Amino acid sequence: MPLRVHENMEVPVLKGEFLRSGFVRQTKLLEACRAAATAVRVKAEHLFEPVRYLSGGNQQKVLVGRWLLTAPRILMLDEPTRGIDVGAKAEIHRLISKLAADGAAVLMISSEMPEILGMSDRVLVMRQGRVAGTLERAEANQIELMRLAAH
Amino acid sequence: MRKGRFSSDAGIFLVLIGIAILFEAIGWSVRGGSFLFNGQRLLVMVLQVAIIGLLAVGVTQVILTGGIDLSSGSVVALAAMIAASLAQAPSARAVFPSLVDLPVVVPVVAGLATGALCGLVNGSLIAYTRIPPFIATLGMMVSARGLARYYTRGQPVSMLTDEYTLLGSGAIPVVIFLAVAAMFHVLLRHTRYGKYTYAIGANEQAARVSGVRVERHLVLVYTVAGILAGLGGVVTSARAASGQAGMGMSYELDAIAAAVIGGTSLSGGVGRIAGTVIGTIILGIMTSGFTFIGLDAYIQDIVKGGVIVSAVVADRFRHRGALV
Repeated sequence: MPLRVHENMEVPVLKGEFLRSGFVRQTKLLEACRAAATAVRVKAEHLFEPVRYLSGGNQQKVLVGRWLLTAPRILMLDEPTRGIDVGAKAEIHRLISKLAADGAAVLMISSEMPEILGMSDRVLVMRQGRVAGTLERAEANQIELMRLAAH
Repeated sequence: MRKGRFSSDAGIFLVLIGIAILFEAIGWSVRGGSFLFNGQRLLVMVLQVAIIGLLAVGVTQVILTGGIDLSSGSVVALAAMIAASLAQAPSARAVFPSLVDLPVVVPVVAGLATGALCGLVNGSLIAYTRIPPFIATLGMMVSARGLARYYTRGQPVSMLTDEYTLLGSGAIPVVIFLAVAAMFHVLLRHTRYGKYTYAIGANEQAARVSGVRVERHLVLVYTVAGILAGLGGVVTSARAASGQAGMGMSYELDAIAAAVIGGTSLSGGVGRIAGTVIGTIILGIMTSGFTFIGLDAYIQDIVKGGVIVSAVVADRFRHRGALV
């Protein structure tokens, strides 16, 4: 991970409005990166800091920020909060909720009960590689979920 | 705020200044004259490494992707042979006796195309068969050298036209080297091509899932490196006014050394053209300086090897120190 924060974030969006006759529009791109980094509250001194010097939670937030830059309509997150501290976790949760509120479809994969119950509008429970059942938000609780998952 | 962006180049630049001052001091004590304040010597200093510098620019971007290119020296020879064979003066057309007079762009383009083709083969092998870059380019290194010899059965191709040899005369190789370096500095820093190159070297898998067409980009990078080696072959043959199959021998190693001395990390993702240019000039200044102070040619190589290894060790420690 020798790349700097902005270098890491900008890779998926090096096209369209951020390019002009082959050259990267660095100022415009940096502005967008800064906005995204602020939105996910990356704690870094500046965007030129190498990503590897950040804490695990902040690295994760940089990654969420990089996909935020692409203005996604569908976002798939595989264990987005595994192994990071509670503060960063709460911020990523807040961000996912905001994306969903803004109209994006979010598919979050998680193996953590409180996270699933707290975040989901609809829960698909997988057991041994198969969908064991679907729960709407109103009917989703620990007991139902475990019943489908463990059986 | 941006201080960190320049510190690594500043470090290697100080090394360059240090080496220059060292030779200046030894020069006064041993030879009783200035080493640096001699325009002719300064020119020769860069001139003798201009071709290596071209290869170093090419190999820098290859190393940035996490690869290596061992074939550049041999590609210089092959491109030199092919370009020279198309640039022979009318009275001495040994290779193609019935050739008509061609404009000078034809041999030049042929040399570049030769390099491009070699690079294309390197890149395709590496990207699509997933064999290690070391092996793919090692094969090209041996085969291209063989092809250069086979092309004229080992005969040198001489008596080239004046228009062609003009390309290698005077300070023109230096101008070409610095122009190419400037171009690639901008290319790597400010275009998508450059940013993808860094992204692949930093983490190939992450680049792939971020929408970078890794295979296609790798082929492109090796092809561009091949074109620069082809350009090196054109300039070399123009300067020598002949094409010889032994040209560019072991240049690939000097080019890699220049890139590494200049701070390019062999694990990929880290490095800058400015550093490579300084690394190239350090190689030139060492060769000139050792000769100036009258160091035995054999000992020169021994010391040079030590300097290259020291550069990498110093780089290791600098990165470790920064990791906290």
